[in-house]
Amino acid sequence: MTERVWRVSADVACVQSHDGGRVAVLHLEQDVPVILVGTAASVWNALDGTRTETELIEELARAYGTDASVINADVMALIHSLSNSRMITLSPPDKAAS
Amino acid sequence: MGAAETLQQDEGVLLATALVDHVAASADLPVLFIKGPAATMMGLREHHVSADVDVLVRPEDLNRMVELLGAKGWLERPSGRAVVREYMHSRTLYHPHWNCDIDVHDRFPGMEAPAGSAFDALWRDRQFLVMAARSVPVPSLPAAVIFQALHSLRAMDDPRHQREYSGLFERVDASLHHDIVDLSVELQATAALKPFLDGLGTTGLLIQQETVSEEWLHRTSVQGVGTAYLVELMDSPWLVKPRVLARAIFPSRQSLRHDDLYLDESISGILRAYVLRWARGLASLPAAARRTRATRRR
Repeated sequence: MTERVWRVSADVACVQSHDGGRVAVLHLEQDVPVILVGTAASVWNALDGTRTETELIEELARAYGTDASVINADVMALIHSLSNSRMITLSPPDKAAS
Repeated sequence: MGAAETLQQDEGVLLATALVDHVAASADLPVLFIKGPAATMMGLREHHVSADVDVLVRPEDLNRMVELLGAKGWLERPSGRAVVREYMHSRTLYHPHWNCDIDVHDRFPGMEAPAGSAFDALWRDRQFLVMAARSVPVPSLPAAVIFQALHSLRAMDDPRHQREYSGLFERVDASLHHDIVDLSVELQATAALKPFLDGLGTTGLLIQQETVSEEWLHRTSVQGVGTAYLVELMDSPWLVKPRVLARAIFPSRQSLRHDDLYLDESISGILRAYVLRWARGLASLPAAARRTRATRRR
């Protein structure tokens, strides 16, 4: 796990369900949206540009009553996937630290 | 992790709004999102899920907007009935992977001011609302009231429109009355809005009354395909009547595709579409005849 901090890209539109359990996300340069549900939506909701990857995984593990090591690979895979599709971007270090 | 799921209609409409806004902003085209979620967010109607995104553009930007969205995979729906008189005010786009349409309007029925001037007045007073986590331009509150009232008045046969129209009187604060009247005059919408302005008790604020256009009269009386064909049949010269009748009974493939994008174009599929259409047409004929008679008596 690292101290990298992720935030939602500026060119992203998203619609969240009231309970936060579902998010429809569209990168505005792409043609079709993606839908995140359940734990994937929880990860998305936590990508607020302030939490480090470590904090994010630990927080999700607490929320789901499991160990961070159990969800680490899945969360990181989702983060990579979202990053590859330019849905999220790394927060600049100075902003992440503040 | 969560599995991929189907886009829901309300999500689609909000995301498509953000997409249209982004496409327009990238090309420096001013746009306004009218009706739909904006009206709900402004408290002008109850929440209900819209089927499309309604966006108003300057008339000279209509083709460009359609082209830009076309480059993103949004295709134009086939236009409907070639024989029946239609007053075009928008072009409808669909995308095979989205669950909503985009209606690109270059004017709004009931507003008789030149479309460019009307847009400029609406753009001047615009505000912004957050949709899909994006800030998008929408009409001012008085302008949104006018859109909502005109939209309802155009289709008062529909119980939902009747309900929304009567609800609008309770939702519009008296402090807005002057602004609504002033803007109605500027948009030359007072004639179409007369029942609404009367209902608000603002008719006294008008210096002079306009008369409704032929288009508005046609739109408010011709609701539904059956009535449209009936009116066209009655208004056509005798020489043209057989062609109108033939098109009513055997509409073109383009017209069938307008009703069903995924039309089965085999002989049996076309035949099935005809039979469905005849059944719908026959069922709606008595109401269409009543409506047409009532309009002719006006």
